[in-house]
Amino acid sequence: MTDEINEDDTVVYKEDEKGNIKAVPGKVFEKDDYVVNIGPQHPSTHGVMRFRAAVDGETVKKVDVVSGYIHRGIEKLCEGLSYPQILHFTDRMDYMSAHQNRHCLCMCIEKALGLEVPERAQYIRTIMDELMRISSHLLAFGCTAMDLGATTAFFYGFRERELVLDIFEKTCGARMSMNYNVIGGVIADIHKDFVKDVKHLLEIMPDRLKEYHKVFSGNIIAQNRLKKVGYLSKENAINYCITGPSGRGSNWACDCRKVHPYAMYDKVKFEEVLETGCDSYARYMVRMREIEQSCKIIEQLIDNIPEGDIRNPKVPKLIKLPAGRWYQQVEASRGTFGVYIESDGQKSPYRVHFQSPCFNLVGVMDACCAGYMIADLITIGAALDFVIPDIDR
Amino acid sequence: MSDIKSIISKICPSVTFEEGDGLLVNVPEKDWYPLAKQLKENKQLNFDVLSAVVGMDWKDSIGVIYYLTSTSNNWDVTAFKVLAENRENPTIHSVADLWKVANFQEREVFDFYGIKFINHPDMRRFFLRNDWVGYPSEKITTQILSSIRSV
Repeated sequence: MTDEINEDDTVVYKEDEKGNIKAVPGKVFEKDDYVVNIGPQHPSTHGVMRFRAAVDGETVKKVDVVSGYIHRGIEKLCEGLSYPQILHFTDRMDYMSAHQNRHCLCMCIEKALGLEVPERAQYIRTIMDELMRISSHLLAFGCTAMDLGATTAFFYGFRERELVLDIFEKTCGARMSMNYNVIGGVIADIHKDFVKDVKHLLEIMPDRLKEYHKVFSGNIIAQNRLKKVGYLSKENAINYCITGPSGRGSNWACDCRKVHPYAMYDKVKFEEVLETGCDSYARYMVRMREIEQSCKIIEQLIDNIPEGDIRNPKVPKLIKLPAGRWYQQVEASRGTFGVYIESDGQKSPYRVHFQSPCFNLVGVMDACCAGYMIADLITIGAALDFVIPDIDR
Repeated sequence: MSDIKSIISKICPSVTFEEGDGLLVNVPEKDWYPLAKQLKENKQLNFDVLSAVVGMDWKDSIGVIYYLTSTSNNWDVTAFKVLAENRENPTIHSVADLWKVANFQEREVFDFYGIKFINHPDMRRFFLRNDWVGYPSEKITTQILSSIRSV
């Protein structure tokens, strides 16, 4: 066992004046650190993920992230498949932002091909994105509550989430991994009950939100566990590129729907939710308030879905992108999701890179948790709300 | 757009520009770190958000594309392409001290492409086990195969 690499070993490559590069060995933790292992299987990590936390008594000194337990090599797989074949991977990264991720990849390919998307498809895509966001934030609410031991609130969140999933099931044919967006539009027209079901959801949501606030947000235990925990300043949020609700909880206006509007977002009125708390509670409250804004967006669109094609009829049978590179961003449920495509003119991409928001979220765990209690690591993780398949692409 | 170009070429005259889907700036490796420092600290440019780090293998060369944007200036996302000088043993100067998000991002690039980032504080693999042999995203895999056989 002497030749086995120690998990604590790390290396820094230094350059001297002559330009020679030298490897300087180092250690991740200090010699006397007491390291607690959390994961890879842990009920609060929402996936398979491992943290190693150096603790001093109950106080966390440093968190080391060990990732890759469910890495599938999606980016490399894409290099051997055609463009329509790579679409479904995006549903399986952050499965709580399946529509937004796939929307992003479709938009990137459409941009490269110079394809127009019919207005009806744009409306449907925007509504679906916002429904997805509602379902994601409801899950985040439920899981935050459950990580604190409040099992009842978890079921409250799931009760409404079921309604969203029912809407998806009727139109897309699946409750998860919907495979709905396609290059040039959407794969199927909306179900005849779609408008009715969405309106029902919009009608009940305001009351249900009040219920959540009553049962959980105002709870003294929840407030003690979330307020002033996991502080992340605005400067650090920008430096660590923490986008989405977590970044907006640190008062950084980073909403891609406002900065670079796409689909119907420049035609609808909504407010970019910002909180100044910079703590776990602020991140939680941003999500709750974003549900209201998503409802507002859907309300403006649902009655005006225009008639017409759901998919551009001029989409070529064999899709080949011209040689070049493209980068497209959308606002997914957890932050700015980016797709980079480089093509050499063949039917499969030369390189695809998915810039997932959760990758950055997990990068800030060390900065957020240092100085707080080991039990707070769980709530900080819950409030940042990262999804592991999005990190392990 | 012409603003960015003139400011950047004033800081670093050796860069070249490519138009495409957004601006791409080709930066020689030896000038990359000083330029990156200026990109972040120059008040006119203020590229304070590093939104993506993409490792790339173009077969005859290997490198990284950094996507930068700004919170105060309404720049579009701008790409900076940095090629490693040595294809066989690629190294690039790390920007993890300027943008902390680069810490994990550069570890991912090292993991899959084998580009060593000079002065990176913690140059370990990120996704793969630390006894993994080779770098799986490289386009030329003969090296990997021969190194696996030799183990």
